[in-house]
Amino acid sequence: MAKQIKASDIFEEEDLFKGLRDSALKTIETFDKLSAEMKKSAEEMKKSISATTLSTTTEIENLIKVTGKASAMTEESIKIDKAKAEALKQYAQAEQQLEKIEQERQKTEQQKIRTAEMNKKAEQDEIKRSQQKQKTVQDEANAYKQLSIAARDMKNASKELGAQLLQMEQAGQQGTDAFTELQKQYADVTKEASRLDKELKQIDKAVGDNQRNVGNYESAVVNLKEELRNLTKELMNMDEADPRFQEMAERAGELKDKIADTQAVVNATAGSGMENLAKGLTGVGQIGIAAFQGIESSMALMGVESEALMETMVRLQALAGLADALETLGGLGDKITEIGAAFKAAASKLGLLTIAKTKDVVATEAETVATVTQTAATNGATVATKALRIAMIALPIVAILAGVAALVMYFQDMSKNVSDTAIQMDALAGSAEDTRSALAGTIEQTSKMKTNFDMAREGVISKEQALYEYNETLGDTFGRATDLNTAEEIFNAKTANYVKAIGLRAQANYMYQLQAQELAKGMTAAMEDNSTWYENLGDAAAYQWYSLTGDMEGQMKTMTSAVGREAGKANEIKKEAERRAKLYEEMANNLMKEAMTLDKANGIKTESELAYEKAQAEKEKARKERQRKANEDAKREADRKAQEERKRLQDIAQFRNDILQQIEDMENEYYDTLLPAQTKETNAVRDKYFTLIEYAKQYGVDTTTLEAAREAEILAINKKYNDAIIKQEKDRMAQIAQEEEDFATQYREATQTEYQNQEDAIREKYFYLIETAKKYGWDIKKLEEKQAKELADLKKEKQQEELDKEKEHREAVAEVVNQSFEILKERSEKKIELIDKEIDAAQTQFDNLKELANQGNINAQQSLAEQQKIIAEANKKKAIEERRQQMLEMANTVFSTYQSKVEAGSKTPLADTIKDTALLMQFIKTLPTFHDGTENTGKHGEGVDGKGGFHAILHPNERVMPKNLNDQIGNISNEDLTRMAIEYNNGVLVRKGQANAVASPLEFSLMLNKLDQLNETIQNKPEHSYDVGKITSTMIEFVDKHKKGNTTVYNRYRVRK
Amino acid sequence: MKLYNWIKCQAGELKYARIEGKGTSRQDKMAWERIYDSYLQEYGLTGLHKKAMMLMKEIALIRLEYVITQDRRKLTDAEIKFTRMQTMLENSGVNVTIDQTLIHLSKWLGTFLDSKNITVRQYFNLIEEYGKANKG
Repeated sequence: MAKQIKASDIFEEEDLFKGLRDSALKTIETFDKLSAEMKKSAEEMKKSISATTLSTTTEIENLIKVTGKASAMTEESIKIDKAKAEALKQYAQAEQQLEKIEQERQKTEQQKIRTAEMNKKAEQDEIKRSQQKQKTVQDEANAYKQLSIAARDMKNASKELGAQLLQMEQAGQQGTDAFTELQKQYADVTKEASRLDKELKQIDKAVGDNQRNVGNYESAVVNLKEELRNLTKELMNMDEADPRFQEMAERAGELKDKIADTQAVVNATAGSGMENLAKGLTGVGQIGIAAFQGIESSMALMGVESEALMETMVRLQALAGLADALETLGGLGDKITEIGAAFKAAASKLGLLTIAKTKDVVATEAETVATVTQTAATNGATVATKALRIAMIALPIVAILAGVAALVMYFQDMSKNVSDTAIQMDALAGSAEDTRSALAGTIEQTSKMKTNFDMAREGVISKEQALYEYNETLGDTFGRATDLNTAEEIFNAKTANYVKAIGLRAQANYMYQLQAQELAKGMTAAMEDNSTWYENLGDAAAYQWYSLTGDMEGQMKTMTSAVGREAGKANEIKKEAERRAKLYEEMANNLMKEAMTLDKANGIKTESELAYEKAQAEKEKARKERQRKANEDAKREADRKAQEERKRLQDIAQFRNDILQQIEDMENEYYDTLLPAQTKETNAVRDKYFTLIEYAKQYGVDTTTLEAAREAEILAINKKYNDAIIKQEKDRMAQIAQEEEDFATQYREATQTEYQNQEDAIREKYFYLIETAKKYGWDIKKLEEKQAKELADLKKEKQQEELDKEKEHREAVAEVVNQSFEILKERSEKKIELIDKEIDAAQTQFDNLKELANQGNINAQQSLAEQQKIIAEANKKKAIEERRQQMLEMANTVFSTYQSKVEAGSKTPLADTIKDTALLMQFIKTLPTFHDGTENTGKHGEGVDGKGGFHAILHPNERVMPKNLNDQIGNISNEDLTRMAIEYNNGVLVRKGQANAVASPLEFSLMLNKLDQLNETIQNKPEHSYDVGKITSTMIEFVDKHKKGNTTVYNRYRVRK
Repeated sequence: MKLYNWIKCQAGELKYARIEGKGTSRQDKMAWERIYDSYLQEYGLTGLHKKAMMLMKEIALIRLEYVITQDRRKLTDAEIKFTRMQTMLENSGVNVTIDQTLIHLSKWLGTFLDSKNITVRQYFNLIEEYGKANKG
């Protein structure tokens, strides 16, 4: 669509007007120079003829020459004067526009300042909002406090209600309404307390409050104890059926363990370094660790030779195995934590051990010790012992101590690593059966193939058969061969790794099974009874005892303890199961990875790969099928589009032909019907009045009234036909405009519908894809991106299509417009041709009448003026038509330029069009201007407002008069009208009723008409120039006298060459 | 000089000023200027002729004045002068050619006058006399 034209398109750049102003100034300067040169020439010419006496041929010739030049120079001077006035006018207009632009600029500047102020205010508002936000945060913190208080109050209320319930229960009021009501209240309050507590915990978690007490173990113990106390109190008041009871009981068990551990650590690290060491070693010794049975005592280690120590350690390993020793150490339970803490404190305080405080950073001498803890897990038990052995080789006595100490200090890590290795070894051993059965089929297959190769070599079976067997059984896995040698080579190269990979996969699968079992075990641990029979028996006896003695607190404690123990055990089982599952998974992954690496390195295809390839091949086939269908659909769509496009082009062509046909019809109607009818009517009026006027002349009657009536009738006829033509053209143009609009609308709707359908199709397709993906929990981001891209591509494609079609449409319209211009121009030329003929005929008539008038024919003399008037009118009509033609040309040029600018993608096509100064000048000149005033604005086209209105350039303080008033004034010039108004005001103008006044308004009107004719004659008089040669060629004059009857006739003659 | 040659020279064909048919255009022009100068000396411009020429001179001077001063009233002055001159010329009689005057003279003399035989001086003298005879 062509851009809508706005005023800013035309006037947005002041350069345009600066250019105009400068151009006007240059023009004025040039004219001034020309005038100055002409003045100089005029002075010289004046001198040359001032003193002439015309007594010689040279003088006469000089006069002739100068006269001609003076005439030409005068005309030039008049032209320059007019052009200069025009340039001055343009200069003034440009200045005015520049001033307007300057005002606009100032307005914009002020607007900018206002905008800046608004921005500043917005910033201040933002600061205020930020402050408000901070205040809100503070309020929220206060809210935390309130929440904390509320939670505490609610908990207290819960406890109070619980106590009341207990009292009622003891009083045997169970089942009463009051009890039920209280129970309900208790449940609600407890629930609310739980909710508030949960909220508080969430907030605490969010702010990392838990981190604040890290390292503060003593305080931690106090907190733990506090929590345990609170928890126990609550449990005592809580119904066992309460879902929170189980959870709280578990927590109580955990707290108890943590308190014991933490307390032991605190005790072990108290005192001097030596005391710490002693505590650590004594601790080990006190519990009689089986792993250290080969050592007399830990302290004795320090006095023994290093070799003996080495042997002792080796024996220790050989005798019990480090794993066993560590397992025994595991029996220490929480005590090991205490001993570890004591060793760590001693090492640090004595400076004897250079073991770093953390197990990740280890100093040089004890490096190997620390390494043990880090690397043991990876490659099996031998690694752990190897690392320990390296530590022994270094063997300063301190290192032995370090070895023992580290063994204890890092018991948990080492124990875990060695234990992991044992688990892994067991698992691998367990997988042997599965591996064997997996390999059985593979080995049978490969052995058979090997036999085939041997048999083929020996000629028992043909080579082709062996090759066929190979390709059929292992071809897909190892790669197909075309000859037996190649097949055997491939077989030999790949078989061993193939078998190995099969075994690895079998092991991996076994590990995955174990992993699944462990996970299942972990998940069901909480559902099973993990307590021993005697534990259960003990709990039952204690509970019974407390029940008999009425010790409710004892009952609760027993129950809590049992639940907590059970929960702790289930938790341990679960953790252990998860640890094992993880181990199995790692092993399975490693084994599978190794198998895949082998396959890849040897170019072996696994069954799953083959299955995958097959599936891929099927998918590819399906894809190709889909592609084929899509291509068919696309072809059908392309055919449909081509069909539509053909139809659209046909529509455009039809539209163009329709429009042109309409214009042609309009022209034909004008020339075939309207124009002949108008001419006929006009001629009839002329004939009628000719006769009447002739009669009037014969009888000496004044013909003025008759002539006026005739002119009025002709004017009415002209008006009637002009109105009819204007209406016809207007209706036709409206019809054309409507048809064009309908055409464009229809086209746009069709395009829009198609676009909408395509867009809907894309959205529908992706809707189902995205929904499916959501159902299966897949990532939908890529789908959404793809959908967005497809929609964007479609939009882009449609926009381009729209542009292309718009261009075609524009070209079609341009063609229509151009052809319309051609037709209108042709029509205009025909009109001019007819007017010319009319003028020629009138001129011939005028010449004849003049001849008759010269011969003394009075009638002819009177008709001369009439004929002159006809010629003048025809000339006027011709001028108007030429003007119209000029405007048509200009409009066509402007339209073409505008079209080309639009096509070139100009953002301001109209402004670009008229920026061309020459074009602008032409454009402005085509507009009628009434700077010097006018008596009649004429028609100037068909009108822009439906009333024949047209654009014109007006100037400040001019007067514009409606048509009805102007009609009353008639053809009086503006100057005359002004003069009359002044004279009337001054009392000079003769008015009715005064002396010598005109008798009637009719006479007054006639007089005005005569004045008008006089004025018109003056205005229309030809430019006077006389051929001087005609005068100089006059040689002599003489008079001829002769008698005609009794009369003497004198004739005066001028002799010419 | 024969009247025929005079008519031709008046029409711009200055080679008719030659006596023996030889000469250049420059020489022709010089010769014609001498001939016309002698005509002016002997007969001078007629009253009407001179008046018209002087009016032309005045018109030219006014127009030049307009070019110098840009005073548009000068154009009106020039128009008035021009109208006067035109009226004067239009009222001065009917235009006739030399050949037509020869018919009048032949009729008056009673003998046919041929432009190729009669000289210029004879022709102008006859015209003078004819004019005097017709003045009533």
